[in-house]
Amino acid sequence: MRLEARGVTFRAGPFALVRGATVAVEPGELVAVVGANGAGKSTLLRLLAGDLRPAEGEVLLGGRPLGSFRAAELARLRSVLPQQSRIEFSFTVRQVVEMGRSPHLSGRAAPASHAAAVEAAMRAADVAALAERAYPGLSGGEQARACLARVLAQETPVVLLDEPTAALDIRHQHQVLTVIRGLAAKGRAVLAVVHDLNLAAAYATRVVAMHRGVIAADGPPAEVLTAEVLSRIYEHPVEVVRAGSPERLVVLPRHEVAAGA
Amino acid sequence: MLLNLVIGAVRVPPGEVLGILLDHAGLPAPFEFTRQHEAVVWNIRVPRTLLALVVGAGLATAGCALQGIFRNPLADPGIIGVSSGAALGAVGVIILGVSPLGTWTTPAAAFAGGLALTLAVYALSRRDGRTEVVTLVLTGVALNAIAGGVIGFALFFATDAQLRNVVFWQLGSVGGATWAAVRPAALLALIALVPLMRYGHRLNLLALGEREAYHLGVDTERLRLEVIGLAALATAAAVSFAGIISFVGLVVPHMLRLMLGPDHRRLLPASALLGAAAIALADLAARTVVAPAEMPLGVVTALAGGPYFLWLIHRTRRAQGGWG
Repeated sequence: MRLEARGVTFRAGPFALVRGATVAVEPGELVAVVGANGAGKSTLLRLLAGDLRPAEGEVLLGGRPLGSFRAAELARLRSVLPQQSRIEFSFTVRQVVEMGRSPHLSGRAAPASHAAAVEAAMRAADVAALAERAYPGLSGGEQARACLARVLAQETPVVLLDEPTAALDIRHQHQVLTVIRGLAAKGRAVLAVVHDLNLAAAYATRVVAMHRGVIAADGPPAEVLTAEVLSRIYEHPVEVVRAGSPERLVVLPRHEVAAGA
Repeated sequence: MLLNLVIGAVRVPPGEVLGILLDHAGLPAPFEFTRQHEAVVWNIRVPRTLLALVVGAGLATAGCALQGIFRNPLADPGIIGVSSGAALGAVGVIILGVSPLGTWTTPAAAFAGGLALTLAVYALSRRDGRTEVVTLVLTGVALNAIAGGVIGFALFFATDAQLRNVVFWQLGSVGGATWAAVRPAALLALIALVPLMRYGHRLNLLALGEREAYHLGVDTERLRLEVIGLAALATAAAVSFAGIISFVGLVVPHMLRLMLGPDHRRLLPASALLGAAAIALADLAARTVVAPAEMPLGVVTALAGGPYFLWLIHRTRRAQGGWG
């Protein structure tokens, strides 16, 4: 299922947080959205999720305007991982992940299939060992993975993720992005806001670069993640080199302080 | 509950109570009872106990539902203005000395006031078809303060007798319960409580967060409107017949959350049961502690609930290492 924004603009008071953005996510793609703080990445994601209504332009899911879906209908088609989730009540990780099945409970699926989806999601996000722990007592990274497991359990054709790796250690960053890339490989349409440009280079099938509310570049990682584009959108000098074994794109921001000083 | 029927100014043995109840249920009564005892039990204690149960179930379930809606374990039915609206209505008719509906005037005015103020809170918090929880809470605080001010202003003009009436109404009691009062109170509470039980799953999803619940298919705006409406109805049914009874709506769901965990599908029915039991017990204490006089019910619940709430605050702060 295809998700696309056509010329969407969103304003908060006098400020246009996103201006005339046109972007599409096709089944099988993992689109990484990159850009500086305040560039409009999260706002774009919230417009695509249906949390926010664009002042201009429209968002289409499978060719249908997002506004014409009921909340329950939408929940079976697209899932969303917000930046951080605070839960006041002490639900266990398993209970939180089970809530991801909620959109499908009215369907005809057997209880066993729900349980299997929950177990698979917890394994994929590496929270199976935390299943009976209370969510509020977990560390930030563990909470982020529990929320990811909830999103995975929802099993939707379109998946939107706002910084799924922000709070994670190196091992979990790569583990989680491998799972997310796997979703795309299974034909889901996946869009993720990613801060770490090296992770975007390694896992995304396409990169969308935002600068001050506008989409500045959109294309394969090697075309978007260049010194020229990145220096412009981050308003800071950036080098891009090929290094490592096997050789891959590495993004190096310039800094004033000499190494080891 | 049986104790509520047995104990009182006139002591009626449990066997006789059972006989009276069975007799009224149309069953053969295996126990003897006197006419005088029958009058005391059936016309005074049974309605009183039933009203206590209805009031307790209404307040506790409303509290539980509102804590879910506000995603805050410290919300209570007063937060949306039901209690102060009801007080405003009741005080209004007591001070004005009008009684177009006879003995029904105060409950009717309290009921109308409670619902009207809740509607006002909701309407004032709404913008572009959306309500934010913070705006809702702050609007509730503002309107509660205004209602309190108006009540104070009205009391300034009240006679001593009216003041006494107002004070006793505000302290809460199920002492005036008659069958005529129990029927409408129970009916209104049922109308609110039975549908409320079906919101457990959606309140659980809401606990994940407003946006998260929407992503999982919950129409959060509609959920909020419906639950607040039903909770207001349950609370209004309780306070209009029994006055302001504090803390039950806050403390009972909280105790249950500690015992049963955070799942609203279990918390809502459990709140109804424990709330009913708590008020019945509190009424028993109100009637017996200073017998033959009676303590206002609100005093009992506040004196028992206040210290518990303090303990809760300290425990929460210790567990979280501050409110930050």
